[in-house]
Amino acid sequence: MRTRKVEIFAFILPGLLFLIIFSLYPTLFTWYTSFRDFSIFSNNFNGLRNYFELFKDNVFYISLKNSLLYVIFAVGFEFIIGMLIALLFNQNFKGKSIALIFIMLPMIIPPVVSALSFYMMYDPTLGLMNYILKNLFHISGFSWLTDPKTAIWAVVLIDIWQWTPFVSLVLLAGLQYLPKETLEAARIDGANSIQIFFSITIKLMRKIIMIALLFRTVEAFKAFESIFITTKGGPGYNTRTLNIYAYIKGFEFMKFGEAATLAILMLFVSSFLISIFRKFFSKEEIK
Amino acid sequence: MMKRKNVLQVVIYVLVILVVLLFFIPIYWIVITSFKSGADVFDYRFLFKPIVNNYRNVLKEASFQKYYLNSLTVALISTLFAMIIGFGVSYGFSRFSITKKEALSFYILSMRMIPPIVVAIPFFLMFRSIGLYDSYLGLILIYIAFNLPFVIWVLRGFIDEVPIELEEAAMIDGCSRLRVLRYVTIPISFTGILATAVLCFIFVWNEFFFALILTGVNRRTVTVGVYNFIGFAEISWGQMCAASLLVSIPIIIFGIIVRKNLISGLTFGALKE
Repeated sequence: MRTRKVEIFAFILPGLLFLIIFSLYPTLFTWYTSFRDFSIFSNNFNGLRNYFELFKDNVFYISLKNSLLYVIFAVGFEFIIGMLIALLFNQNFKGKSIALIFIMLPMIIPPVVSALSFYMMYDPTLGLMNYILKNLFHISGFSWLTDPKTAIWAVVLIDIWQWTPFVSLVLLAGLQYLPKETLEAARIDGANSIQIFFSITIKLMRKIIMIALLFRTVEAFKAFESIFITTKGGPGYNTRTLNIYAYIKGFEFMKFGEAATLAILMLFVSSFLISIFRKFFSKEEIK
Repeated sequence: MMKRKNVLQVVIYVLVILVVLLFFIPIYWIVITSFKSGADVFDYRFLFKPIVNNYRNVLKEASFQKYYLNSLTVALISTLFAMIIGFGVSYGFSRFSITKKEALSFYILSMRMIPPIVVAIPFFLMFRSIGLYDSYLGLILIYIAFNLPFVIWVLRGFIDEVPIELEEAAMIDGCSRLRVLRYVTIPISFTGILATAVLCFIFVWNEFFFALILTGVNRRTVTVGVYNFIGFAEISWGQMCAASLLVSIPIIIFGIIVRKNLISGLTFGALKE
């Protein structure tokens, strides 16, 4: 089909311009801000000061640790539980489509609603969590969100509840693409289900597993609602992740320069993860 | 053999019910709490007298109505524009040969994946200084930009599926490009386009972070409005749950409608079902 240059521009230019103005430009602006002592009181160039200050800041390391804990445990459990659920739903049973609708709900309802629901269930005196512990297991219960020992696990659990369905549906789609003949052949050769799973299923699904894990890692790294609504990063610094720390610096203390520095560091981490993505994102091979 | 199969079926059912319960309990909890009066909220007896007062109170709250309407306005308009602008780019990427197309396309995708905090600071400062803070226009612009990468990626998959020969045939018959879009491309990929639009709507409706930092009392969206329930000294759990449910209902309905496209949508078309 013959196409004129003008025509091509007419189609793609509005979109590209929009993205340049609303995505590329702000990113560069944040970068620029990270080299400035920018707050409500001042706005001066100060080179790499923000970066040096950040690397001396104890809270930065605590936030980094919490981000790592959050990502590793949320994504880890989402993968393990998600895989088990995917294997279960790969069996034949009646009412599967209705069950799938129920499973899907946590990831489509507004994240604010999930966070509020858990906030309510975590209530130490009256919440459902402690009620279940007390009456089913005779454990006295925890002050989930305000106890430094449990807070981070409590917010991780919200993430797990919300996003395990995503992982299991992605993996389930993968399981359904597996070549039945290969699995059948292995079974005839005398391999048991566990052997088949670890040496064939996992290998054949490598790409889809990577996609699920990378998506979740990128998203968990920028988790906001699950923490902000329930603990705001507290108690103390116990659930403060890099994202929450950047929010607090920027929008509660109005230290835009320092917040931008954190944001740029987060951008590096995300870009690194996204670049791994690229290898796994060729559509043809997944299908 | 038959017996073993039956046992297996029972085990499967027990496990499925267990899984469904685990994922449904928090939502179930919101539903029943929304029908409880203040005194009953933490009374765990299974039977209680359901009341609709919470809903009545939330619904007649002027601020709740306003926030709900704000969300609706912003979600509808930003979805519409993201679809139109995004369609252009995905059509261009699908049909024309453009230098470095795939690299550019991936770069666009990465714009959606970076943490929102990276762009939030400039938006906050800019919007403050040019009067877009707490305005419809500001929010709508942000959400168009937020959804564009998604629309571009997902729509491209649907347009790729429309055979190019059909378009060529129509053009040989003398149709202009726009007429080809109108009578060939769009009708054929219509269900895909619709599903993409519904997903856009869901994303904007659910969005919290930008709405939190870029709106005040006038253009606050309903997700931020619901969150404000726990800002009060004494939380009215029943009303908070009623509001939560009212916010979730349109999304649940839309989610069920597009459930077949949900996973391919949430992975930006990496997985087709």
